[in-house]
This record gives sequence, C-alpha cells and structure tokens, in this order.
Amino acid sequence: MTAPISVLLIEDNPGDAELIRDTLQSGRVLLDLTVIHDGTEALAYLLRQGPHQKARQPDLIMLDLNLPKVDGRAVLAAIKNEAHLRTIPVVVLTSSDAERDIVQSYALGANCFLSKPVELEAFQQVVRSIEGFWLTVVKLP
Amino acid sequence: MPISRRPWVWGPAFALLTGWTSAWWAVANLPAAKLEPGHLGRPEVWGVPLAWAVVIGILGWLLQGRTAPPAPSAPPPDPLTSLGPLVEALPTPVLVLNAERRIAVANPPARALLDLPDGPSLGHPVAEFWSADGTPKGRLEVTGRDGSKVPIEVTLTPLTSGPGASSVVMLRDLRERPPSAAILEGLVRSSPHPAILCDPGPSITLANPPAERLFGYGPTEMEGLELAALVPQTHRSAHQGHVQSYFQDRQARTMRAGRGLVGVRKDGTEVHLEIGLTPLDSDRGHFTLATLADVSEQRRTEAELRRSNAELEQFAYVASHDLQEPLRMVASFTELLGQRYRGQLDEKADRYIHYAVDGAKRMQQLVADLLAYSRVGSQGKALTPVDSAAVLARVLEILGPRVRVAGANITADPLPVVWADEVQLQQLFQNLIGNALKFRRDVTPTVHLSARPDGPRWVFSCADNGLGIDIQYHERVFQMFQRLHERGKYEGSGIGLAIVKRILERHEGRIWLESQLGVGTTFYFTLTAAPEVRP
Repeated sequence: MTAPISVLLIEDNPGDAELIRDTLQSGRVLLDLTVIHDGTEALAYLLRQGPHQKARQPDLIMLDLNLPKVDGRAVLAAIKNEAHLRTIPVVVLTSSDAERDIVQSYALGANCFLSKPVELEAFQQVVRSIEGFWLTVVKLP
Repeated sequence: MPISRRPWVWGPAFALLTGWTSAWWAVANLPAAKLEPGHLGRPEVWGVPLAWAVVIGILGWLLQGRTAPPAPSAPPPDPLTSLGPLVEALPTPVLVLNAERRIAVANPPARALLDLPDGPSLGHPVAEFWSADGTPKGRLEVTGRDGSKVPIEVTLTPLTSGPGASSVVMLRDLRERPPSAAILEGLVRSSPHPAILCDPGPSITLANPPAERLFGYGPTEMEGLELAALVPQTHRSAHQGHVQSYFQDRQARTMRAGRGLVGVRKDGTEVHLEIGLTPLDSDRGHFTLATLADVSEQRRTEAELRRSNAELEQFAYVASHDLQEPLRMVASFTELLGQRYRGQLDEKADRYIHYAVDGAKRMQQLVADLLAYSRVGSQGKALTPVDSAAVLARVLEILGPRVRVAGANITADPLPVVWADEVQLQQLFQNLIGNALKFRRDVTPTVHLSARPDGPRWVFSCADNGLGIDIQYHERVFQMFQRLHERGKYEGSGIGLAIVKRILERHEGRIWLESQLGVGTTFYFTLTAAPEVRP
C-alpha cells in the first residue's frame, strides 16, 4: 500500500477549512491533510523550520490568497522561488475573482486558480473536482 | 513760326542771291563778254534774277499750301516719361506700361510688391496681367520677395486709346495687413487673464499684470526675460523640444495640464498651467501670444477625486470579499446542517433552515448587486464608437435560452453607432430586454428596438407588450432595490434599472419611459452619435 497523498491546505477561514476537509474526507482518495492558518507558519512548515523540523513535504498545496501576516501571494512567490518546493503543484483557491489576482497568481507560478463559489453545492463540487483531477488524474512528482 | 518752315520766303531769296552773285562774278571775271561794272545797273542784268525770284516765290507758296503738313502747335508730350515723377511719388503700388505691355515706370511700392530690382525696371514684361483671351485679369497671384505667393488686385487704365496703347496699372496687395505691434500690446495689457507676448528668441516682450501676479513678478520685471526662466529646471530640456517644434510649424495650439505642464514662479514655487499659444504677425515681426490659466486648484481637486475614487474601489473590494465571506459561512453551514440532518429534525426545523439559507442568499445577492452598481462608475472603460446593432446581436445570443422559453419575438430597426463603453452598453440592453421578458403578460411577448436621430444624439426606444408600469412608479423604478412586485413572483433585487440609469448617466444620456398598465412599456434613452466604427 502506497503512502496517502499529502495535501497542505493554507486557509485562514476555519469554516472554509472545515468545508474542504469535510468534502475531501467524504471522497474516495486516501489523503493526509494538513491545515495551516497563516502565511508565516505555512512558510515555516514548508522550509521545515521551528516546530516543523519533521514536516513531510506535501504532494499538493491548496492556497488561499488573503492570509494574515504573510499573504498568499508572498507565500506563492516563496514556494516558486525555492528549488526543492517549485515542483509542488499549487492550487490557488480563493474568494477573489478579480482579474488582477488571477493574472498575478499565474505570473507567480500558480498551477491553477479557482474561485470559491458562493453556493454550498458549487463549493463542494469545486473541492471534489480538485480531488478528481489533481489527486486522481494528474501524475504528481 | 521759324523761317525754315516758309519755302515761299527762302526760295525767292535764294534765287535772288544766286542770280545777282553770278552776274557780279561774270562782270569781274569774263572780260570776253565785254561787260563792264556799269552793266550791273542794266535792267536785263538785275531784272532776270529778280523775275526768277518772284516766280520761285509764287511756286513755293503754292506748293507749300498743297503738300506741307499742317504744322503742329507743339511737340506731342511722351506720356510714358511725363507720368514718371507723379507715379514715383505715389504711396501705393503703380506701374506704367508701354504699348508692348512692358513696364515703363514702376514706383517703389510696386517694385517691392513685384520683387523688381531697384532702379528703373524698364522692359520687364507683365503678360500675366492678361488672361489668354486678352482680357485683363482682376485678381492674380505674384511671387513676392520672400518667394511666397502674394494675391494682388490689378486695375488697368488705358492711357491712350487704340490697340497696343500704354496703360497705368494700379496694384493692391490683398494680403492681411499685419496689425500694429502697439495694438497687440494694448490687447495683451488689457486682458483680465494672464497673457504673455514672446518674440522668437523666445524672450518675453510683454507680460500683463495678471501674468506678473501669476508668476510673482513686479511690474515690467518680466520684460526681456527668457521664456525658459518660467520653466522649472527639470522640465527645461523637454520645454526646449516643445519650443522648437512649435516654431517649426507655428500653429496655434493648447498645452494642457494633463501633460504635467508646470511653470515656476519668481520665488521658485511651481504652478500648474494650461497654456494656449497663438502665432501673431505684426509690423514689428513675429510674436507668439501665450495665454495662461492657473490650474493648480483644479489639479488638486482632480487628485482628491482620484484618491476618493480609489478609496471607493477599495471599499467595493472590501465589500465583495470581507462582507461576502461571513455570509457565505452562514449560508453554507446552515445548508450543510440541512443536508446532513434532513429527516432527523422535525419539519419546522427544516423550514427554519430554509429561511436562514434564503436570507443569507438574498443578502449575498444584494451585496453582489451593490457591487455591480458601484462598478458602473469605478470599472467603466473610456467611451469609443460602438455599433449598437452588433451589441444588440450579442445580447440576443446571451438571452437566447430565455427568449426561447418565453417564446418572445424580438425585433429591431437599424441601430446607429454611438459613443459608449461597449460592456456597459451590452449590460444596458441586457437589463432592458431581460425586464421585458420577465414582466410579461399572458400573450406572446414582443420587444421592438429602434433609434431616431435628435441633434447630436440618438433617442433609442425599447418597446414591449408586457405588464406596464403605473405612472406613479415611473421615477421609482430607477431607484436602487425598488421592486413593484412581491418577492417570489419575480426574481431579482430591483437593481437592473438603477444600473441602466447609472450607465446612461456615465454616458451623459438620460432615460424615461411611457407605459400603460396591461398594454406595455416603452423605455427611451439617449446616447451620443459617433462616427463609424473603425475596423
């Protein structure tokens, strides 16, 4: 049996984190989900600093743009500037649908940009499609 | 009368003289003729020459009477030369032409006008004063001293009659007379607005009191200053380029503060300016009139407005995210509660959940609509010529499914090109036609669009056969979140027409309606006509 896919969710809204966790756990893919609520801690986790010395490198990162402390854009830039983190696909999942956020995210190296739908059903559908595509169809490094 | 003109006098005198002389000579030198001096007194010796003289005299008198031309009383005056001093003295350009249509006399003004060399210009042909058929031209162009074409008026007056006669030609320079510099200076001085007169240096020839106040100089202190002294150090090289390009084509132009036009006062402080430049010619040469306006206050207001717009946009962004987020939580988790615990709670609980979810969703819609309304101002694009027919076609494509469901019949007359923000014009059509489809009666819905010109504008109309709007609501329908029907019957928050009105306000247009309950509604709105859309 292979190790479960490791997913790092960087999301400051506990409600959204809960909805995402709830939806992913009801799916078929066995995964190991870590939730981090701010940008600074997310970077410490990824760079294995402080209490995260033994952190496992994630297979996929789900990133919100509006984060306390270091915001999502800076986290994205840091990930894509770090040679050993650059290969990890980053899915930006945010409440913004502003053109400038979309363009900026892709410019910084995001692998896909998704807006959080307002409707619960649609939201669940988006999370399930992440599971269906990034965690099922896609070959991860 | 001189004697030479009378052959009947000198003829006989000659005969008498020769006759008597030959007789005397014969007495003295011809002794063979046996003549003696006393013979001279004999009648046959002095009488024969006398008789000849009388005969010749009579003949001469008779002949003179027949063949001699009548003696003129004086030699004929030469008009060409006799007019010379008079013409030379005239202050206006005048020529005298000889019979060959060549210049006989040209006075100094005429020489200047026709670029003739100084001194007598005799012999210069002026064939151009006549057209091909020989009639004199009234107006023509000549090449002036500086090589430019000079329009002149020509008045020909024949000096003598008959073909090929000489004539006097009066010329008039039809060019605008440059005004006197003194008048220009008077105008600049009396202007209540700041104005500066510059020479091509460019240096300041004159600055009026408002200009002196604007730049903080004392009376006449600015005269003689180089123009560059009024330009901040950092702008001088750019200014030099502008000055050069201006003097190359010398066209009137306006320089706007939008281009960051800044002047510097005597004390070094800067002032935002708008400047109009007008090239002027005067009797003292070329000048440039610069009229100035201090737009510092306007620039401050604009900056303030930009800041407040940016703040408004920031507010919109905040509203769209920070306000939506908690609402989404309320709606999502109430809904999740309903999903997970359906059937485990009683019917009442299910209903409460429904109200909570519905309320949260309506709030979300209101926030979204408010955002859409504010974006009409904050996210509008510049107006360009837009083909409204093409926009309508796109809207009908988007509304296609709804049109088919309603079984509606949508028609349109040819529609014009107007100045518009294309995205907003599309939203306008979409909202109006969408309303016509929504508020329909039990008959086949029809919508007809047309436009008629009204001065520089087009008045569009969108007529439907729907429910109609009571006259008391004709103003209220354009207000935000005003609905005429109870919730549940027709969806929507009542933002559609408010957005339409806001879009038209941005386009400097207006909207009004005519309606009859149970018959239909016609919305009218105006947009500015535009030239054809460039491909």
